[in-house]
Amino acid sequence: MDKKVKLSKANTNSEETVKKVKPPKRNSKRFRKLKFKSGLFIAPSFLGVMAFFLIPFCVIIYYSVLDNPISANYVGFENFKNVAKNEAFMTAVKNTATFSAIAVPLAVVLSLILAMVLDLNIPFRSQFRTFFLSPMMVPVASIVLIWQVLFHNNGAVNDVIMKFGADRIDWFKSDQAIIVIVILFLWKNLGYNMILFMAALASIPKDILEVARLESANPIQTFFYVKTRYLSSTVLFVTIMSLISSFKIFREIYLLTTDYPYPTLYMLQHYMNNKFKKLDYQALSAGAIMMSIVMILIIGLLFIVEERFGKDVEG
Amino acid sequence: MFQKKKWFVTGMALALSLGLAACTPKGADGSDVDSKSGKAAVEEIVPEFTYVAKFSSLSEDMGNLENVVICGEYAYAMKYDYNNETNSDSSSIVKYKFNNGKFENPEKVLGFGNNGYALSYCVDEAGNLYYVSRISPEAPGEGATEEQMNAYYESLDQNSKYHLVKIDAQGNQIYDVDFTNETKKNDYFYTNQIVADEKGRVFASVGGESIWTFDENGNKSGEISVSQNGYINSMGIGKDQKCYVSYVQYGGEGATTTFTELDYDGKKLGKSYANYPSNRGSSAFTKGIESDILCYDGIGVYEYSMEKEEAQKLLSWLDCDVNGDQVTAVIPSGDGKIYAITRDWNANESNLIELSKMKTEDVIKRETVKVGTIYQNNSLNSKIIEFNKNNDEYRITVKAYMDENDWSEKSYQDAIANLTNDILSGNGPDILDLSNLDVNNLAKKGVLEDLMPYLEKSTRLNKNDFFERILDVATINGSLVYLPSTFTLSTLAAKTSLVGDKMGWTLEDMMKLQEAYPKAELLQGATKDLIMQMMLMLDKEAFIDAEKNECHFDSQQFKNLLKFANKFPKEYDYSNGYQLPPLLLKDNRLLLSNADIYSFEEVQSTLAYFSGEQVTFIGYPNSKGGNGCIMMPNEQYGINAKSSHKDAAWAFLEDVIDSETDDNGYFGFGFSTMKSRYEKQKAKALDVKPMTDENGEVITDENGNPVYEGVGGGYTMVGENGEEWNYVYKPVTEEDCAIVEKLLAGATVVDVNMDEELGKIITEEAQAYFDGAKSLDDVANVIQNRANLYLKENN
Amino acid sequence: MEDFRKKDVLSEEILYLGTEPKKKKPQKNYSQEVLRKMDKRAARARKLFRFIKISIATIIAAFFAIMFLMPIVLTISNSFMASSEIASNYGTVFATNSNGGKVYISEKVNLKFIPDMVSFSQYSTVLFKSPEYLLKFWNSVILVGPIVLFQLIVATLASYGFARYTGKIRAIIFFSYVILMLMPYQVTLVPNYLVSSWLKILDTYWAIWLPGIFSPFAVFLLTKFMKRIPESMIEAAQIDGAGEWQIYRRICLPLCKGAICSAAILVFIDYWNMVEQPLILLADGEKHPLSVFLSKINSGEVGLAFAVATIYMVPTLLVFLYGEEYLVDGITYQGGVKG
Repeated sequence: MDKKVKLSKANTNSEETVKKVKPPKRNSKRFRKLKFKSGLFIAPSFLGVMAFFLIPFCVIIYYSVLDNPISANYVGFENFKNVAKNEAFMTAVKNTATFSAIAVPLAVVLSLILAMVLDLNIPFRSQFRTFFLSPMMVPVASIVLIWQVLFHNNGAVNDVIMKFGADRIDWFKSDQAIIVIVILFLWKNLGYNMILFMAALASIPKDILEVARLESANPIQTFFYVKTRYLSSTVLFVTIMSLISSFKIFREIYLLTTDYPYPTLYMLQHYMNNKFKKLDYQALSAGAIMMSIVMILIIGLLFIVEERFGKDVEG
Repeated sequence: MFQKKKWFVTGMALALSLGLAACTPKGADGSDVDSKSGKAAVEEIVPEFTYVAKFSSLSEDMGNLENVVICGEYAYAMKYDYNNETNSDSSSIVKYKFNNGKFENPEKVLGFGNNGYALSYCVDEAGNLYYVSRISPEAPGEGATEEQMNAYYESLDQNSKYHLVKIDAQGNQIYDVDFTNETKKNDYFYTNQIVADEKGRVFASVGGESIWTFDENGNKSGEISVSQNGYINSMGIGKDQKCYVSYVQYGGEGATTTFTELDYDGKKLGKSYANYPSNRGSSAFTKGIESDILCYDGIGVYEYSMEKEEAQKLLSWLDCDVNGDQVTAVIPSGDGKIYAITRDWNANESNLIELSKMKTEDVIKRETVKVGTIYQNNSLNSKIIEFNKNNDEYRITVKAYMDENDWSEKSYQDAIANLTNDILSGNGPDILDLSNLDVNNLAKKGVLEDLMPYLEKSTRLNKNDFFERILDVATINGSLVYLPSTFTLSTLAAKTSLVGDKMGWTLEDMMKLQEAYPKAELLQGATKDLIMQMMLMLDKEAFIDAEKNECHFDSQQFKNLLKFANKFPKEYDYSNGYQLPPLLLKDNRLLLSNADIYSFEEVQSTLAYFSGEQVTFIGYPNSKGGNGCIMMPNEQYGINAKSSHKDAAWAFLEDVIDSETDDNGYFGFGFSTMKSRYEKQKAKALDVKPMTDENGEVITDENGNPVYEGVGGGYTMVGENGEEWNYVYKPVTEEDCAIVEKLLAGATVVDVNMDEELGKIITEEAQAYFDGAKSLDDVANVIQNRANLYLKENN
Repeated sequence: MEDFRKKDVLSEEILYLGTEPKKKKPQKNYSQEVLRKMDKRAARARKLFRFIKISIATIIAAFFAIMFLMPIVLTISNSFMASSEIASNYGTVFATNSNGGKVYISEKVNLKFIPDMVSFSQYSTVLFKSPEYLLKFWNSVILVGPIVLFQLIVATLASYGFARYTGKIRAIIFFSYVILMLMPYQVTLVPNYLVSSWLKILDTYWAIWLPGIFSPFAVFLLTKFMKRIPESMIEAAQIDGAGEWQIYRRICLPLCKGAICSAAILVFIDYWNMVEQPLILLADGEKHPLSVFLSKINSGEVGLAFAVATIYMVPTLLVFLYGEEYLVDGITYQGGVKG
């Protein structure tokens, strides 16, 4: 056998079609061998995840049914009831949900649009790419400083607003606070999302687009009926990544506003952080579990949608 | 293009790593240096060897040993003696044979009479003794008039002479040089340390800022200027017989200590060595045992190698049960032992401590009990040392959670987070220092053990001896969570004619008072922030309904408070100088006076400010109408409910609370929480008699007031514009004591945590209003929103 | 016209050869010359239109680029300011008042881009006078390096395993990976502390390395890409006698290079910025990374903050520059592998 099984990339363009090979029978020996061997590959990661993520999660479940991490008395679902009824928790949930509902779709859609703009062969394309990635490098402290200076009651943005004759807004202390955070989130995340989309756009086989063009489909139709299929898995991916980032934004909010911000900025993680500080670990755990349940539902849904929608593309 | 970029990036990365690696200092044996503190950050692994201390007290006549210097088998010390009969003091340099930790065969090398003393001395390897002495003219004898005495004192500086003298090992004087002329340039000449190198050249540290050099014959040969913005810490001789100095310099990042060689010929500082082990301002060093230098300070003893520029911590005083701040000398002896001399100024005793190196595993282990505290705390440390010395079963260790180099708010939050974590995970300390913690929360969570059973079983403490109010305050949810040993009170006082004679008032009352006297100052030093804080301290019930868990910061009442606070200045205007409160109070230009009472005498002095008028201790305003006095308990220690050393912990607590008072009645700070001792304090305070002279007549001071033992006669306050006010000390009366008891009975304890959080929110938002940037309603709304959130979260 | 929505776009033959072009609108009868001129004009018009489209796009891109770059430029330029200038400019932003809360900024604070006086004092202080910042820098490197390296190793193995065989159990495991990934740190911090304490690795770097190395994040990223490798290639390799390990090493890894780089960059950034874990799991302040220090800037040290921040950014920048080409090209390769 030729040890170096090197496949040159030239062989893999879309012109050459490869016959789909039928998957082996499910119960065949080969299949089971495959299952076993690939299982080996997963083993190290699985063990690690069990030890450092799963077990802690079980610990959290354990704590959530205690009244108090010190006295450790079993109280069943009491904590869940208390936390769910807690007004602060409800505010936090509402805010977090609102923020995610606004920010994540915006992040996905805007970055897709930007990717398409950049796709148009404008000059300096690769430089722009680098620039757009730059926000990821900036440390949180600098970002916080700049945002504070800009959006403070006496800051630059208010200056501009006042020049237009409107009243100034104390951004961090008002109902409009969420806008500031959304802007911060977008600033941080558009770049990477855009790169992903650009790559995905570039990977759409040119010939399909040719087909569409020759079929005299206008750009909108091309987009909606062709591109989306190819982009769907990337969209799911970007959505999940943005969702993860939308939780991470807590650090910036915390540095901007301390433990007890104006209620519109009070996120789930604020609630959890404060509970942690007060040793109210049972409330923290109950809240975390409720949050995970919601996560499971949402992500499960996303997975299913992606599966159905992009099935034919994935192959 | 791609390839080029890759190489560029790789090249940059290499350059960066090399460059940064070069700049980073590293200790060779892996102990990195935290150069900000200058202290070698030593790994706290269990060392192979520890030093075990053996204590022996030094006898009375050796009690005044200072400046001990070892040379070979001899130890030299400076002794100060006070002759009661002739009422004179004398000093002498005494030579002992230092054998196996004992000072024997004292031999007086030289002595001074009443008119002179040695400023400092040193002994070199060969046994030559050098000293700088100051000889003053004889004092006028008995029967001298006061004028003569005054004239004598004033002329002392001019007429004193300074000598540098060298005496060899056999006692023969080699030279005696009078260098008084050299000192005329300084206002006041003082040297606190001299060292001599192997060539017989002497270096003297003068005024803490420069070093004078003297040649082999004792003549001054030059000056080395050391530090513009700092001071000389100490000088010494290294193993190589050269002279070195460590000096402190104040810089941008705080003080740093530098260790350099002294260059005699060049009359300047020579080579400096990095990583000097101690950054404490009062460290000293001497010749080392194995390495070049042995350095010691209030924390521990270190060895320092100049060649490798590395330091190694040999021992920490706390671990050896020695109070590091009391160490006056450290003497390494040839057999590997280290001797230390400590002097306890309060107890007036000296100890010699013999530290021998033992294998850690051989040391007898006692049960370890951990105390957790946020800030390092000297009084705690000394109590721990005392306990460890006297207790054979248990050993107390301390963990301070706060990063010593960083005093910011965030660092404090981190410390709390770390402590919380430790407690949650079961690694918490056995004893908690509650003084900076949220006691209520900890108690609610069941973190703190109920001390009542221990108190009831205790043989040293009696439950009924404690004031009920104290026990009341320290009992949360039915369990006694801490037991303070002393307490202090804080309240406000005003003229009865202004506020009536009932103790306690509300916010409205106070605002009305100010309105009645619009030109007057309510409280000295009051600013907007201060007023807000003060109002919120005790009167939060006005705005927070604890039962319904609601707050009303958008109420008119709160807005009135904001408006009221706004009337005060943002920062206190000290431009008119310090105005004497008593005079202001008299004219009703000042309405309230702070009354911080930590001893009975304070009651007197508070009352005295009002120049004889009737006074009411009106207290801080609160809406319940209580007496408005705040009680602050000291020494709040609680026991961790999950601790496995509860008995040991209680033993320590007992010790702390029961600490014996000494004959001088040194009770520590505040009033005792135990009635029996409180009565003793009271009795002592009431029992002050005026001093009488031999004829039984009362001694008076310059103003004609009687002088009381231990206290004095009185004092005069002089204001900026020359106005005066006399305070005359009157002995404490029964009524004064009654006031203290009355205040205690109605006092409350401040709820640290809730007030902290709410206080932060309110102060932050209120500033916008105070600066005029936002309207009152806006600010009140924001505060209401945020405070509401806080309350709801913590229902 | 065929409704190509329903077309199976991965079909083996490209069908366009057989389709009919859309019927064009009947043209007027123009002469050849006129037709050519019209063509030319149309061509020019199209060119013009294209030009406008591109310029607008460029402007939009430039606008966003400036917005994105501004904070970095600010940080770097401010790092060349003298301490006093920074304090006077931004002092109030970082100040804390007496009870630890924030101070209200009463005057206008403006962002300064150009220093009044270029001074290297910040850098000299950081690099020479207070080397503990550099120490923390190396701590950061020591902490993050192994995590990136080993997480990728573990993750590529795992994602290969996921990609090769998809069963119900696997799907559930993968799904739980995603959920576990989303847990915020407050929730996992105390359990991590407990686990570390049981394993006796508290206060050592292992307490941070181990959870980092086994984080499901990279697995999630890479599985997607691994799955796209067509079965056929793997079959071909198997026919040639390659075992699973060979397939992994010789086929999947090279093909996923882009994704691996992308994952490496993301993991690097994530852990380079971590603050809370070192705080709790590494009690010894000497071991803390630079990110912790930066988050603790108080008003005394604002002056150095920018220089430290710039130094802090440099590794990320280098990682970016190094891996960027891989990032995009590699992902593009992925697209090429398909079909």
